[in-house]
Amino acid sequence: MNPMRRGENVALTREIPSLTSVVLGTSLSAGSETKLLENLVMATILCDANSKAISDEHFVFFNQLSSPEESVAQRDQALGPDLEQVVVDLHAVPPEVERIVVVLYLNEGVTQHRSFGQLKQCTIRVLNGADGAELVRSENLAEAFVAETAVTLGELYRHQNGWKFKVIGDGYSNGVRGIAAYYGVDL
Amino acid sequence: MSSRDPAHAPARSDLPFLKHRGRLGEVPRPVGVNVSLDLDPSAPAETTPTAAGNELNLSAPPAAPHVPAPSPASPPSTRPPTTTSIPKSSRGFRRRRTSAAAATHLTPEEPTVTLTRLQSGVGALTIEAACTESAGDFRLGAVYTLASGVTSVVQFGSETNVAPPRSSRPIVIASRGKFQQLTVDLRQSRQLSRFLVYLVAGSLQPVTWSGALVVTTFGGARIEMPIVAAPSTHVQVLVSVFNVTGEFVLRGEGIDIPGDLRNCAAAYGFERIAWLDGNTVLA
Repeated sequence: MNPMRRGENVALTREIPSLTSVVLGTSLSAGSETKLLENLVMATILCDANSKAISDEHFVFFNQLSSPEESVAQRDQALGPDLEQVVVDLHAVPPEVERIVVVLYLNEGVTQHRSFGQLKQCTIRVLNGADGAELVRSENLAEAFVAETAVTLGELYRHQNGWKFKVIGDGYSNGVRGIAAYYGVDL
Repeated sequence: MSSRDPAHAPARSDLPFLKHRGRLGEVPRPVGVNVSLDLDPSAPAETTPTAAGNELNLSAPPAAPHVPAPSPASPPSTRPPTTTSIPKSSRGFRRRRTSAAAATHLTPEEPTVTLTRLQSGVGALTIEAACTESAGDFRLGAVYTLASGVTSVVQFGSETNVAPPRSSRPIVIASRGKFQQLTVDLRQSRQLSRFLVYLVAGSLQPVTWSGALVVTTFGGARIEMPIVAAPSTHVQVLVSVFNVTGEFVLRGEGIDIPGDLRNCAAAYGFERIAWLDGNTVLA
């Protein structure tokens, strides 16, 4: 299977009509820059048609492991080779949610001055939630990163009563603040 | 009458706290008010209105019988309500929140505020002791317990200025910017169970305690509390922070504790600490 490039999409539920849940997983490598991985955070944002989070409680990350209705839930411990994984129950997603965006950001805690340009490898993949089979995988998005401190990796979105997945790979130089401003999340 | 009857027992001079022993009297019942809690869903609902109509009925409401809609000419019902429902606003504890729109003040009347999961998990939390140099020689610090059970002290100007001690990936750092400050790495917020922020005199000279504690979230929300106490070498307990299932609950303490830091830590239940002396932990 060829990896998906930036901007490419796939009609998941048209290809697999029986698909009811998917797992979105991120795989990362920073070589010897272990500090970089320690501060990386994967988050999933449930957005409306205007690409705005429907509420701050729909920002799913390590400190808020599930959306209120539990349609999207981050695994405390990822299974397999992924660093982080989030499970999406496609049938339980609220109707007002049009897209589910997966982002990655560097937490600006007590250590700073790092960027995604130091990443060696960064991919997002989609697994069938029923059996764990890999459905699609992105290309290595890290090759294009320079000074970004946050990035939108990909998104699930509604299309003709089904769900599609798209690889995005767009970066932000202002970290999670940029992510929060773009998707309307109140930090 | 038995001598064991407490109503006629002789006074005990050896137990001073019994001198103030009191006996509960009859609580006067309000006239005309019938307050009852009906928790039995099978019990029939009281249909006779009480004089004051203050009955609390928590049982499931019975199915409403089919009643034809009144004609527009029908007069409105004058029957008083038989039950008083609990307003939504008073059901359970309501957490006070904070936002970047306006500073939140911790006061004796409203001592707590709860950060959201985002405010408790994104970026860093900064805690500053905004005090002037003229206040004297003091140190800002915190006694903490990690989820692993490790309990210790992080304090500016000491050997333990990071938490955990000598960590290459500290959860809390004590440093100095404009003021002395503690910075909490919220990427590791799940590792932090609770902590108690304090000020302590850096020498035997009394400190003029005045200024403000300022807590700032990554998103810019500010929580403020005045620091006011008589000049002393005592420990000033400023705020306690508990991690309640991912949300940091801050409580303004504003308590002056005579004695050393070890006494203060023990008073708040931080007992699993090895101390070199009353103000220095074994790093």
